[in-house]
Formats: sequence, structure tokens, C-alpha cells
Amino acid sequence: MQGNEPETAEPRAGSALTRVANQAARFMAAIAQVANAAGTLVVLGLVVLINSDVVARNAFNAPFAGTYEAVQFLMVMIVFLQLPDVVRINRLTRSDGFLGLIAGRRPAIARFAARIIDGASACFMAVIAYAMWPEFQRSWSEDMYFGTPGIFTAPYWPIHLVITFSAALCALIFLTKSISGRRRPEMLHLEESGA
Amino acid sequence: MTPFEIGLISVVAMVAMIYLGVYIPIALGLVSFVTIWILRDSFELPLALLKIAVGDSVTEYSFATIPLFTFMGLIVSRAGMGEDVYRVMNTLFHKIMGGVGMATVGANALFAAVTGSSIASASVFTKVAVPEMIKLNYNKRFAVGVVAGSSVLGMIIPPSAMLIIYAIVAEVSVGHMFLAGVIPGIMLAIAYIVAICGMSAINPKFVVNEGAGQWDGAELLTWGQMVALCLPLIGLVMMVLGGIYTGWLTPVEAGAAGAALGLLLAIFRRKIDLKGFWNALLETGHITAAILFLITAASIYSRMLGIAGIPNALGDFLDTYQLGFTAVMVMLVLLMLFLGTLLDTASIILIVVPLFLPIVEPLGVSLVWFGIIVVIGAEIGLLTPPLGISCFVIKSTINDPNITLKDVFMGALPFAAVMLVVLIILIEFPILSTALLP
Repeated sequence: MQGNEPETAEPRAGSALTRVANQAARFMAAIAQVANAAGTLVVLGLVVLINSDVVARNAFNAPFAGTYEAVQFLMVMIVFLQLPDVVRINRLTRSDGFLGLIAGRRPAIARFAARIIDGASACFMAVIAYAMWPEFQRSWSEDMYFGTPGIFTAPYWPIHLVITFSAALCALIFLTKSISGRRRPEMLHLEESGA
Repeated sequence: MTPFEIGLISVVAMVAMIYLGVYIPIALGLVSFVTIWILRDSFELPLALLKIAVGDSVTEYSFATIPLFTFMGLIVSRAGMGEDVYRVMNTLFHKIMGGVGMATVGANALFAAVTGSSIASASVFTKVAVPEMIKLNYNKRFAVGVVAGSSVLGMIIPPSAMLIIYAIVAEVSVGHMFLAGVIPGIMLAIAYIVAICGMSAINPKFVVNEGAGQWDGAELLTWGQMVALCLPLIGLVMMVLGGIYTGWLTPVEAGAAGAALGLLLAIFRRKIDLKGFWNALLETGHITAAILFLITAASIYSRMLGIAGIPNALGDFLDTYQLGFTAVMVMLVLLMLFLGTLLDTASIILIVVPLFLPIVEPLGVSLVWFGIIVVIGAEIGLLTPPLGISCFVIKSTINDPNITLKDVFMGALPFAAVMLVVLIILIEFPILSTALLP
């Protein structure tokens, strides 16, 4: 269950809009994969950080200051760096019984429904990006800090930046999916989250 | 329209959208956003709430348990620990009719203590247990059914992703949820074994075909080998659950320590290379992002319910008709069974808990106990058609045209029934869930 279902290209030639969307999709896929690799390194960092803290606390009686805050910070990085790639490989949680069912009988309708859903998803992610952007501007210009003063502080702006960036990228990936419609609804039930 | 009516319509619309195939976090977030916008007649308010939900709800220390335990589960699966405990259990149960089935249940229960995912359990045991049972001339429906049924143990016996998700939504301690899951998980495993005994006594045809082969005596282990194979697993369990129970480690630290130990074990056994390691990290990140985005969306949904006053109205409704605790529990279980036909466990928990928590909280019941009820109730959906995820995983792992998806569902049905019985017992006797709590 790797879920890495490649989006199979459709044989029919697309319109100019579809071609642009496909090119944009490839470009954004590359960005999503870079962000994903960065997020994967953060997962590794999280394991190393907490283990070092446990060892330092028990063996040397010297816990790290600010592990708690650093973990919170890293969690945001993991989630939002990985999210665009999750969207790209169609692993965002969904229930696909119905779509799968109609895909067997009326593939055109299923494909259309899948495109509408991707379009609506693009709108929602865009609203998140729109909501977070002013937050980023504020934390950037006002030097907002995160954590407990004197123990561990980190600037707030990377958190707001990564959320804005991630939501915007997700919106664009959804948009290209919606325009190009490059997916097979009959394969949907193989895509599910790790639950 | 009153806010209550608008809220109710939006809940129904949300469930309908999810059934039509809208991504679950998008359905929760989008409908909640629009509903708050309509209720308060302001675009700024839902925008502000969205900002808080997305920005703040992920920055939570206990969320780190999700990637850590996911990573630990992936690593120990790769280290071949599931196969090991299966061989041990097979040696113990080989003389009994239906023994391989019981061995599968026992191995799953032990393996569940180091993984938090039913999917991992289902795919590991489909590969090792099903071919063995087919070889010994077991009924194919029984063979796949027992794997499907016992895979559910992965999410009940701690560490479990579902217990963590409930702990986050209901704001109870992850450590308490883990401890509360121990007795119900063992109970369910024993109930499965008893059920297999019963099936082979009452209707042997359901378990084995005519002229079933006997164990050929190969591959039996000595006591020394069994201990050697179980030792790493027991060490991991002691470290993780023992660490949490004694308060030596927080759940987050226990997850990190378990991940590191599992990794050392996999390296020691030469079961993992750099690529496998990177893939496990990558998979961990994907699962974490998908689950946490779902949790973020659910927090917007829960605020929407509050603004629409749904939980209060439901509470008033129960008061007016003098419906007590039993009625609430019946409603809850029926709703979860209904949602379980199409939804995955995490989504069911995230939809049901914000609705019911404000109702059960004033009844003075233990929220930890309520969590165990919700998690087990939601997990029955893993086994029920048309979209039982465990059954799908087994069907796609098994790759045998002689075994259809229908066979998997039919085989799993008795086990789903056993789960329901255990669930009712757990509802009746909360002490079973709360006994281990400090």
C-alpha cells in the first residue's frame, strides 16, 4: 500500500489549457517533492532530538532547554512541508466507495465529479493561504517570537511562511488536477491515509 | 432558520459530501467555513477561526506521538517482527483445530503492542498466515476473515494511532488512553480465540474443509528459540508501555525511544538499508501530514458545531424526551456503525467525538472510557462492507483470484460480530477500561 499511484496520462490529446496545466503540474510536483524531502529530514530530526534529550536527561542529568518548544516547531514543519506531496500523490483521506462505484459504470461522470471535487479543494486551500498571508506579514515585520522567553524562542515567521506556502502550493496542485483531470477514479480505493 | 437547523443541515451536507467522495478534511473545513459565514453573516469571523485552527492546532507537543509511533510501527514491520511472533504462536497452537487461526490472533495481539496500525498488521499477516492456512486446507473465508478480524487489534492495543487521535480531540492524556487500551485489547483477542473454538466445535466446515491436512511437524520451534524470537518484542513493549506506566517517559519520548530501538533492531538483523530507511521516514511524513490535516479540519468543524449550538440542542433533546445514558450509547453505536460502512476510523472519530463529547461529559462518565468505546466502535467499520479498509488491504495484498472481496467480507463478519459483543461488554463495565489508570 505505497499509494504512489502514478497519475496515468490519458491518451486523448488535451486542449491548450490542459497542456499548460500539465506543464504546471510537473513544475509544482517538483517543488512538492523538494518540500517533501525537507519534511522527511525534519522527521529524522525529531527522532534524533527527542532521543538525545532522553539520553542527556537520564545519563547526564542535563535535559536540553526548549525541547518541548522545538518539538512543536518541528511538527508544523513536518505537516506543512509534506502536505503538498500528500495532495500530489492522492493520499489525502477520502472515502471513495461511491466514486469507485460510478467509475465502473459511468466513467465520464466519475471523472467530472472528481474534477469538481479537486476544484472545490483548490478553493479551500486558497482560502487558508489567504488567511495566513497577513499573519506572515505581521510576524515578519513585528519580530514575533515563539516559545518561552529565557528558555527557548524561535521567530514565528517561518511557521506562518511554511503554512502559507504549503496551502498555496496545495491549492495550485488541486487546480491543475481539476483542469487536467489526470486521474483514474476507478483506482481510488487504493489511495488512503495511514489510518 | 434557527442556527440549530442551519447547523444540522450542514452536518448532513458534510456527511453527504464525504459519501460522494470529497476529501474528508476539505469537506469538514469547507462546510464549516461556509456555515459559520452564514450563521454570523461575516466573512472575517470564519477567516479568523481558520487562521487559529490551522496555525495553532498543529503546534501541540503531544502530536509528535503520531510520527514517532508511525515510524516505529513501519520499522518493526520491516524488521520482520510480525513473522517472528507468528512462528512462536504457531508452535504454541499447532495441535488444536483452527490453531493457525488462533496463532494469527495471538501473533496479531503481540505485534499490535509495537505497531499502531491495522493496515500494517493486515498486510503482514496476509502474507504469512493466509498461505499457510490455505496449505493446511482451511476454509478460505475463514483464513482471510481471521486475518481481517485480528488486524483490528493493531489499533486497539497500544501504541495506537487512533487512541492518540482521540486523546488529542478529547483533550485527555495520550498515556492514559494507552493504558486504558490494554485490557480491552487483550479481551478482544481472547474473545476471538474463544469464537474460533466455538466455530470449530459447532460448525467445523466454516473453519476447515473436509479432510483437512494435519500439521506436518516442520518449522516447530524449541522453547529457547521461542524466547529468543520474542525477546526483542517484549523489550520494546516494556520500554514503551513500561516507560509510560512508570512515568519515566512521556508518550512522546516513549515513541522516540521505541523508534530508535526498532531501528537498531532492524539494522542489527540487516533487514533495512538506506533506501528502506528513507522510505519509512517518507511514509511516516505522509501519514502524519494526512492525519494532522484531518485533525486541523476537525477542529474547525467542532467550533462550527459550538457556534451553531448543536451539542446543547442535542442535550436538550435528550432531556425533553427523558432519554438517558443508554439511549445516548445506542445512538452513538448506531451512528458509528453507519459511518463505518464507508469512512475510515480516524474520520469517524473526528466526526463523532465533537458531537457527543459535550453530551456525555455532563453525565459524569470517564472520558478515557468513552474514548475506548469510540475507538472500538469506529473500528468495526474496518470490517464491514462496502468499504472495510482492512478487507481491501487483504484483498489487494493476497493477489489470488480464487479469493474475492466478498469472501473477505463474509469471513470477517463473525469477527465484526464478536467486536460488537465486546463493545457492549465494555460499555456495560467501564472498569475494564479504567482499571489500569493511575
